[in-house]
Amino acid sequence: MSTKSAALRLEGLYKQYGKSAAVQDVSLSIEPGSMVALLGPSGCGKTTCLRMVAGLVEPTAGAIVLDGADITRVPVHKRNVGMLFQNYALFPQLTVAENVAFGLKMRRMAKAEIAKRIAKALQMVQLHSFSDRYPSQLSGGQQQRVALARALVIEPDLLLLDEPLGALDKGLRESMQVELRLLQRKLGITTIMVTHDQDEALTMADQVIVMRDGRIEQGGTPKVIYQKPNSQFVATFLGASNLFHCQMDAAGPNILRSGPFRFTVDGAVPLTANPVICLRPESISIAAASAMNAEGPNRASATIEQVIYRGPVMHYHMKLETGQPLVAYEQVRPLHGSRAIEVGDAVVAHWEPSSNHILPG
Amino acid sequence: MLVLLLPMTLFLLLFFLLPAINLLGYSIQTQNAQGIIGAPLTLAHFAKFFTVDLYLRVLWNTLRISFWTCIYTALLAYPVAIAIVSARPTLSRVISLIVIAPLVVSVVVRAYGWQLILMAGPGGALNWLLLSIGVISEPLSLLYTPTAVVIGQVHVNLPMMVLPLAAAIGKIDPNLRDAARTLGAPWWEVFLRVTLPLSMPGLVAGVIIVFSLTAGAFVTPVVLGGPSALMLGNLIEQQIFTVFDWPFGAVISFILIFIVILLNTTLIRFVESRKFRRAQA
Repeated sequence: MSTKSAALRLEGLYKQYGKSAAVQDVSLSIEPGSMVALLGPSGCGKTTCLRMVAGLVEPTAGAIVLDGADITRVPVHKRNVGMLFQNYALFPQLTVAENVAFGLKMRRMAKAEIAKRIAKALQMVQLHSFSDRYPSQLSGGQQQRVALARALVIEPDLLLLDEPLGALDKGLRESMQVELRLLQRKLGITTIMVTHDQDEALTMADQVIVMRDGRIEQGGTPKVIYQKPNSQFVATFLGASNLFHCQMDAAGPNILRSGPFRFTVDGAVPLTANPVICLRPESISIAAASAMNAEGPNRASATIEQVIYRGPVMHYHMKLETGQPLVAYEQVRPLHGSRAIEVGDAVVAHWEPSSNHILPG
Repeated sequence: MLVLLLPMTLFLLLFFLLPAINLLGYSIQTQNAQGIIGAPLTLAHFAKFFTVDLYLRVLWNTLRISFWTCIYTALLAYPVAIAIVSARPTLSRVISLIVIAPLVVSVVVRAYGWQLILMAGPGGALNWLLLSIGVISEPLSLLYTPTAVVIGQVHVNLPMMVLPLAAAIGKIDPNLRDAARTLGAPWWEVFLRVTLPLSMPGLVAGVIIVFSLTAGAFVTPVVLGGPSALMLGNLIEQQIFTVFDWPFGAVISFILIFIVILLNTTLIRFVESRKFRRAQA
């Protein structure tokens, strides 16, 4: 299957439903062959964005530009996009082969050519022996593969995924994530995925676009989005965060204070009104209170409230002297022996200055 | 569970099944000069029906009118049913109400209403309208034709088609239509390949109701059809109340019931066929 990689640009997309705006001023540039995830809670406008790209929803304002051509007013059936739906949306009255053939028939392709392409597409998703089955005779994972074959067989310019793996159970979902990503890379097809699952977005996408209330909150590579969130919303939506509301400290330009705690940052603190320190749980280390002094910046004494064993990681839920909660993750290293940190222990939590990420208040 | 069905079963047994069997029994008995019906048993009444031209013409009329009524009702009902399903809840309720509203007016009243509209000459409302906007130059003679009966029956039966269709279309996952559109299907292909096949149970239910009611229609053909659009129901009435030939009336009833049951069982078997059911699952 050959697909050309198309570049997609969204320019100031708006979608108004009555008085409320579902999508506001969404602008986005997608590199040919890359995979972009629109991530956000339900109602953030991510699905409306995807449906506008598909042509299923007409934008109130703005433009959709595919390889330099404005396709904003091109009707859906002339757009040449492949789309995957959360509930697979296979035609129940058609067999697997007939489902895959649907788009080719719409393109008035010759019968022999259709048969050849169906075989190839089903081979690609390893379902060639299922071509005469009906969708109701397949498992959820198999149905989604058929839907994938049906979407890709038309050699679309874009692949659009609407919560494609949401209906699968966890194990299958994770293996499908990897498989889908490999296939997408191999075909080099420009892809947009909508998801509310942060792990899925981080696993699969080149670029993650976090949306909230119809607007883009932040866009960037998974690493940037996770490590350098630019708002408290992004910091808490992607992974767990410990947040500290701070004031500037008189002691120096690179020191912030939150109650009894002090945070130092590399370089000067950017001038924000009420800076918030975001501290990821995995950047916090724990030492026994007897082994470390709690004085000094980037340290806090705490009491262990809960210890959770999560296989590869331990989660420590602590209470600081101010009553604030603090969460730390620690890699489990079986060869190093297990540490005896137990509920009720007095500990000192400490971290590197580079872990202090400053957010606007 | 079965106890719940007992009252209805008794009612149908006493007031429907027994009289029906009794009437059908007449169809193979002989009526003597005194009007007493009894032995000997005979198939002569059936032979009469299938050898006399007039009766076969009436049978053909009945089938034709019922067939076209089903076709036109379905054609009118599909867009309405789709609108009911895709409209916002308030609008959808308003449309449903408008569809059902004519049911509060008696069939007789509606048939006479159509008579005023379809009347021949420039006095008929339809002729007046078409003549004055210049669509036709000579008045049409629609009244007292099979077409008039079809028009009347379509009007009477529309809700019976719209409601099961809307129920069936409402069950179709809207993503299926979107999937078809993204795969390159224009709206009419979406209808033919997704909406139509998947709403088949609703269409079959509608056709069964509309065909049964039309095949047994009595009032509409009397008021709008006249002698040229006589239907089996009118023939039965003539035999029973005018000619007093109960055995022959029973024959016609038997044939009418047979046609309706044959059509219904065929259609139901189609909907319940294995392949079709699996596809719906």
